[in-house]
Amino acid sequence: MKKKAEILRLDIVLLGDFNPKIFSPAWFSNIDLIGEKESEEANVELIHQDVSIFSLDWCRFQVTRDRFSIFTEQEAYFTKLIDLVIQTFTYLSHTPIVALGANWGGHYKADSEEEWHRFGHFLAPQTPWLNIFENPAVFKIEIMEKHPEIYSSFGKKQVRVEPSGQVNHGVFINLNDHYELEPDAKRVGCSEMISLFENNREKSSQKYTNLVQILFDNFEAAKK
Amino acid sequence: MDKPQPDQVEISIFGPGYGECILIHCGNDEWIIIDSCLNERTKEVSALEYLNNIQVSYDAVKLLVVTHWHDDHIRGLSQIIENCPKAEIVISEAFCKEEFLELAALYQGHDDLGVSEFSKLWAYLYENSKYPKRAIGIRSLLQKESELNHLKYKVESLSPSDAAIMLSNCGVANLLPKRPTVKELPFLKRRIKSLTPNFAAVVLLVTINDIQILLGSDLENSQDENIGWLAILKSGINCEAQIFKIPHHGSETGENPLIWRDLLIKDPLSVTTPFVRGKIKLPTPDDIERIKSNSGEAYLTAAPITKKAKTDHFIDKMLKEDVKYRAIVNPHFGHVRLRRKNNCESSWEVQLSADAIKL
Amino acid sequence: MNSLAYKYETTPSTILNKEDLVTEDLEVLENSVELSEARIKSFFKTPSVETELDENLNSNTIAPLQNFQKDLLRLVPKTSYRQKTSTSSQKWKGHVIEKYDSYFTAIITDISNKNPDEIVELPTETISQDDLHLVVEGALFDWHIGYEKTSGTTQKYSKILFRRMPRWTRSDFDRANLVKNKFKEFLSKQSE
Repeated sequence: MKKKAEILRLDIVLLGDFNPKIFSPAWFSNIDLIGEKESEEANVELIHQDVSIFSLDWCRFQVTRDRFSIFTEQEAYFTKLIDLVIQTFTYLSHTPIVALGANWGGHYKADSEEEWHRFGHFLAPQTPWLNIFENPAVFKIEIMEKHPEIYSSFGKKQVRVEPSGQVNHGVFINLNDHYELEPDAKRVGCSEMISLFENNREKSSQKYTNLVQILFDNFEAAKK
Repeated sequence: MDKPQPDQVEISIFGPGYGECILIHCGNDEWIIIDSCLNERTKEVSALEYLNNIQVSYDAVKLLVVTHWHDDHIRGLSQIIENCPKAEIVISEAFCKEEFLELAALYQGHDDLGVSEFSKLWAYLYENSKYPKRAIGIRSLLQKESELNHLKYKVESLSPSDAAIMLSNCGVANLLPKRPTVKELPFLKRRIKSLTPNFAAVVLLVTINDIQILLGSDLENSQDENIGWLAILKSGINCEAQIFKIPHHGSETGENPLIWRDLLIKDPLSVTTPFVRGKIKLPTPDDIERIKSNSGEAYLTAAPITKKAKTDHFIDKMLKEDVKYRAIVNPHFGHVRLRRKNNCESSWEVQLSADAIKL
Repeated sequence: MNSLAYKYETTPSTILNKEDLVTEDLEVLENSVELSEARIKSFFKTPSVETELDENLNSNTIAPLQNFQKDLLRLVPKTSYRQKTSTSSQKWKGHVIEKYDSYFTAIITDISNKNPDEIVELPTETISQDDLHLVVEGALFDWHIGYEKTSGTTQKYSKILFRRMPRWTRSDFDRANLVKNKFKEFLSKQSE
């Protein structure tokens, strides 16, 4: 497997109470979170009280009443994307946010079709499925672990591996680095959540890098 | 590399990295570390790397002196603090003032903004209830006497002065971001710059039996006799150092002829850590001539010459279109090691490693 | 309770297109038109009943709202989303040391290949118009070199992206004040 990704992706998802109507390129530009020219060149598909969808040259926003999501597939903009999320919800510090997920993803190409299949069998051996399926193939695998010591009782990391829809004989590996605080009726707004994410942003990225490295190292070791 | 004998004194000076680092073996496997830097080649903390190489336990470090606060000067310091729990920590009195505490507190958790090592230092001291010793003016920081090898050593600070501390605080207060008001948009977080000149620098005098070592840190000269080298010179300190770590990379701003006349023996052995950043190269050729003329022997941990940066062909070709100038920061890194038996009139054994040179 | 069950899932959903939200009727619209709220709601499979701005907004957050209100009901039809992808073969983090009229000097740290830190002089014309005001002493930036792909074509790129860093907030200062006071109290005990 080629350890260097063909495509990398970062998707940040926040769950809470949002007003989609305020999220537009012009709004972001007015508070200098994006440039004026960027705002003018944005592709606005819909701005409405229930949903806003628009794209800049480097990212795409989708905001509904309970979900804010921004993603990019340009690695150079990963830092900018995280800064944008942090800045937005520092500015809108009264927004109730119940959970935040940093989804780091990458499409990796196998050296051959045979190796691609072998990777699938490495992740999910065929043996338990014989006599049930004639030729079982991995559709999707998800593994999860909680991280109470870092993110209170509700944090977790969840890894999904599936065949890539964008790279021929490739796999898509996604890490959902999930942050959630204990429910607290006295908590107002999202400062604590944003602060938690800001303090863990570097570790979050490193988690993904390490995960891919170890997974492929384990695969190589299993091949021998 | 071998470790010094129990009756041998060693002074090891590393640099430049970002900053410099000095290790002193006082005798009987008791070590002092002053500041910290990274070995640019291995990316390891120089002090810890060296102690590992000569198989000296980190528990042998009895004192750690921090003379700077900016990341550019003390990279790797937090690792030394964590790995040398038996070391007492000495910091400038200036770093205990409200302005510096505010700086450390505000920048805590921000690794890119230039204050991470200093913030970690304060967090460590607080979490471990470890009170630092404070360097201010002429003050004894550590004093020990032992029957074994008839060892007697003392570490004293000679600076900063009261006036220098006040000046330093004003400088830091100006660097601190302002608390946002309702009307104006708050400031963006930015990397804080280092304060120059460095008035809070700690100059140390280390006396081991009959040997005196004057470590000039980054202290600069001033017209005001209450700060800088003039403040030390007027204090009347009794000092005739044989070894001199030249202050401020040998630049003329750290030079005062009275230092050579009043604080050092005639023709002392001097060591300088250069500073190379783009078009700034210290010591300059004039500085080198001056240092040579004042010293019996003079050494540089590395030559103050620039080196072009290179990555790979594709990248270098792309950069050529956009970049007007490109050079490695502190491209050369070396180690000057001085050893001599305690209580003995023998001359110093000098060992030069990596890019270190004799002037 | 199933210990693996989570109330909230923050994994990415499939890209939302207008087609997810609207009925086929909307595809008849060729040009941008003003639509009444009632008409928009009729397109949604699960229309919201709320018509008021919610309480999260106040004058500070909606101040710019008036500037673009006219865009709120405008639909831009028939642009399907196609994003560029890019991966970087060389990455630096940098900070500005000094800014001059037409260029600036910066220190850059190689985060991809661990080469030594460099000092560089860069002309300000390499920076996008949108980012020029961010080029000040102490400003942080990322510099990436690699390849980007758009609709099957691949080309080299070199991007210097100045960071719009988070701003110092009152809660940063409040938190720092608490920490500073703890340090002060700790030091005062030393003198006792």
